[in-house]
Amino acid sequence: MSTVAARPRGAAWRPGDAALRRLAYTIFGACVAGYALAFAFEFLKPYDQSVSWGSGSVAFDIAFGVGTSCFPLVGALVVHRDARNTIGWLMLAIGWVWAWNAFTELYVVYGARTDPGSLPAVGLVAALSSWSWVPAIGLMGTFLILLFPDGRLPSARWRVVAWASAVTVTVASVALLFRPGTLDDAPIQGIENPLGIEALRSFLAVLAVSLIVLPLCILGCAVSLVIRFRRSRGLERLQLKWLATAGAFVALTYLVAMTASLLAGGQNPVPGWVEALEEAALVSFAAIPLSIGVAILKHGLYGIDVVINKAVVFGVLASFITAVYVAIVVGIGSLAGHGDRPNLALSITATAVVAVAFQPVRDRVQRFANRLVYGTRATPYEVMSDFADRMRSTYAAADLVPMMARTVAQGVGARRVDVWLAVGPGLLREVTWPQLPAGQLPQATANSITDLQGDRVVPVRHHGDLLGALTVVKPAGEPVTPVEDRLLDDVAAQAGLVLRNARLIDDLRSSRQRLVTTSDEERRRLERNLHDGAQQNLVSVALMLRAVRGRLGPDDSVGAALDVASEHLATAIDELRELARGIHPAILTDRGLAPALRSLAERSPVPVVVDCRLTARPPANVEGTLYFVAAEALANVAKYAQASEVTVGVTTTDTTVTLTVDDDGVGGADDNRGSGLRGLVDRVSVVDGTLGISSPRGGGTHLTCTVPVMAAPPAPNDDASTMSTATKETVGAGS
Amino acid sequence: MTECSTQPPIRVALADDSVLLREGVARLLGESGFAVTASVGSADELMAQIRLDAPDVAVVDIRMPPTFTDEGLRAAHTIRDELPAVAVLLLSQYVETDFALELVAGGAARLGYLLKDRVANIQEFTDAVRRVAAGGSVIDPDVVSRLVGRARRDSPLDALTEREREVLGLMAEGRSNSAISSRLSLSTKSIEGYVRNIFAKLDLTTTPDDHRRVLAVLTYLRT
Repeated sequence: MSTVAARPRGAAWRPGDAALRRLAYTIFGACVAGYALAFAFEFLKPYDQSVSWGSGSVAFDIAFGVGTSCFPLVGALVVHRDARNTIGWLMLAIGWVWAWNAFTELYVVYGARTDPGSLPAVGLVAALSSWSWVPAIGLMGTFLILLFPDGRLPSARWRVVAWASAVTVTVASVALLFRPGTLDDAPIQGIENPLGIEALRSFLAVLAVSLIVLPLCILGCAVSLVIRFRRSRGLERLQLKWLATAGAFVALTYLVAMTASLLAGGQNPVPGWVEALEEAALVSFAAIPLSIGVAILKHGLYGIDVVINKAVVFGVLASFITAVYVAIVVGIGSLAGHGDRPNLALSITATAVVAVAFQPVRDRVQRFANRLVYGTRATPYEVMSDFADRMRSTYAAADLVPMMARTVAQGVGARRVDVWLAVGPGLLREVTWPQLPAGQLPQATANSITDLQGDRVVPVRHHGDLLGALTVVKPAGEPVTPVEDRLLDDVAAQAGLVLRNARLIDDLRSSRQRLVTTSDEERRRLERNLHDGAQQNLVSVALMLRAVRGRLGPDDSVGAALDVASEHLATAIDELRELARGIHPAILTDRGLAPALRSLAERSPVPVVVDCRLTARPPANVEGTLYFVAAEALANVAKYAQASEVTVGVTTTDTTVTLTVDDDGVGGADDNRGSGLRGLVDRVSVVDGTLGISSPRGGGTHLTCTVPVMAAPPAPNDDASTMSTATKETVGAGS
Repeated sequence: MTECSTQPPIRVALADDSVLLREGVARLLGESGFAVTASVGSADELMAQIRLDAPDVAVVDIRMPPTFTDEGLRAAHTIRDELPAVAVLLLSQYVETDFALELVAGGAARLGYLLKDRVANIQEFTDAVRRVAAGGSVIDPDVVSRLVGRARRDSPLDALTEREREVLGLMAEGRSNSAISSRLSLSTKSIEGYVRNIFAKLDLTTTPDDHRRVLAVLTYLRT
């Protein structure tokens, strides 16, 4: 979208956006007033085909008015959104000239013919009116096309065309304004131009010839549009497609209407259907500003979607009512020969038709307007059905909540959406949109739903039970519209199920996590008790036995028995140590994963190469999980793989730690053997990890276990941190 | 290396949180002709004691209060920094190669690392205390046998004879050539021959220094 300022070249001051917007609204208001006055004059005069503005009938004038009034309407909407959008201001200018043209022509008709002498300065107004079609057509045919969609020239060399257009329009306008003689372009013939300058007659006549250049300029601009389209990509191409579609539509309508006029040529009066076609062609002109408006406003502008939507609906409905009245009252009236005065029966009929047809037409128009404004992504209905579809499809339950946040954000054009989950008495933020990389979402809690902040806070309940809430923050200055409110309510109703599932999954995960953590702690405690309790005591006993044995002679029979007992005791101590190791290796707690894996490798009957590339210690539960997976895998390799070598690798990224165990054995591992590994799948899933095994027959067995860790630097193990502090203290005390 | 009653007894400081074991070891050492200068239950107490009265050897349990992880190990490092004349014999409920290598990496002289169970073998234990007190190194046979016996593919160790492997293991335990010769009842000359052969076969540079030899052999076996 353009951000180019619409301001006089070289102007030193730069008006604020608010002032610009007020100016735009004022111009729009002036246009509306111009058309209103024009129609007032239109209806004040008796029906007279020969003196009407445009090319003939009242219907014609109305059609033309509807078509051209879309320019200031769309222009004002664009400026409302982006106060410095060149295209918006161009359209306001075009609209204003057309409105001026409509008002002044009917002013002249009324003042010169309907009620001569009733209005002042008819001649002057006629002079100011007669040339106004030049800038209207000129701006529409040149700059609007040349600058669309971003308010900039396609390239610097198009400056020539821009200057030629500007000079042509200006010169032609001035020439027509001051040309002496009768005003050819005034609706009433034979009015002398009060502004005509006799002395410059021939000079101005020469200048007026510049009008011939105008079609060339328009042609040049059309070429620029084609070139621009061929170069365009993405959004710009879409925008140009809108304009191209509208242009094609207008051209087609004109083609049909003109063909019809030619076919019916010479018939007098002109048949009604031909007239209707010609009117349709005039109304179709509205497609140009409307398409420009859609192209500029459509993307990323949800806030005024509803405004546009309503404008389209009201505009079309107004045209519909007018068309019905015109068709019945004027059309049938003139056929019945009562064209010169209003017919009460026909008016009542028209009213009845409008009343009956209003609701169905309104529904259709509303649907059309929704499609036009929201496109394919975000009509509330589509948001909901999309949401329901995704809930049904293959999405993992864990992805549903982020998906819901995204759906809501896109549906209402939010700047930010948070989904909160009721946890205990308070609320905990589960996800946020736009999504942050894993681990970077700061934890946020709220004591109750009334503490949540946002443009809208929508509670999510299931059977009256508060499960969570959605909070929505819209871009500044864009309020939540009623349509969006309804959408939020609908999503909240559906979200009950999603949040309930999320809570169940959370509960399940945390309870499993608790189980594994507890069991890890239990294992460590057991290992410590065995080492520091039982084992120490047994060693003391062995020591005592030895001491007693020392007091006995070498050939003492009791001494021999003590020797046997000592040996058994030594074996028991060895076994106890191995048992403690199996329960939880102390080196894992004390030194971390790499030394623990190396220790495993030393004990493996199959040669093991350890390639551990950890830069810091992962959390204890991750270390434990990976260690036990490796231990189980190595045990399986020793039992089944007939491998000559195993490689145990540990690699790490910012967010994950991956363990691989690859052997060069017979492969073909199936689920039935190595059941210990299957048991570890649970353990791995508790830390949100994945465990994969590939074991092609004859191709070795390859295990990969990936576990996510915090994106932040891996939390130092408690022991490790205590150790470093304690070391410093010791050193400090010693020096 | 051998007990010499004419010399003053070797002074030993003990640190172990198990009172029963500590007292057992103290009595055992006393009966074997050592002088126990301190018997404490934590690394801090040990440091306080040996700063007051430096022993020849500190026998230290690795896992002690308050965290029961590696207090003894850290105390050992402190002792080596502050009082390099004091030999340290570390005892542990379990032995790991990583610890052993970490210890000898800073110099293997006056350093021992033994499984705690070894104290029950009086001869072995007192021998270890004497070896570190005399400036030697002691590495637990479990660590060594695990390193030597470890499964390897295309291992250069396969080129060694049975006897050479035996000698390699004893070197790794920190024993000097003369200790190995008396252990295997062979002449020092033939042990020197074995050692030369081993170093040639493993492509290691020979070093006359026993402590460096321990480090070289352990590092070699580790990789």
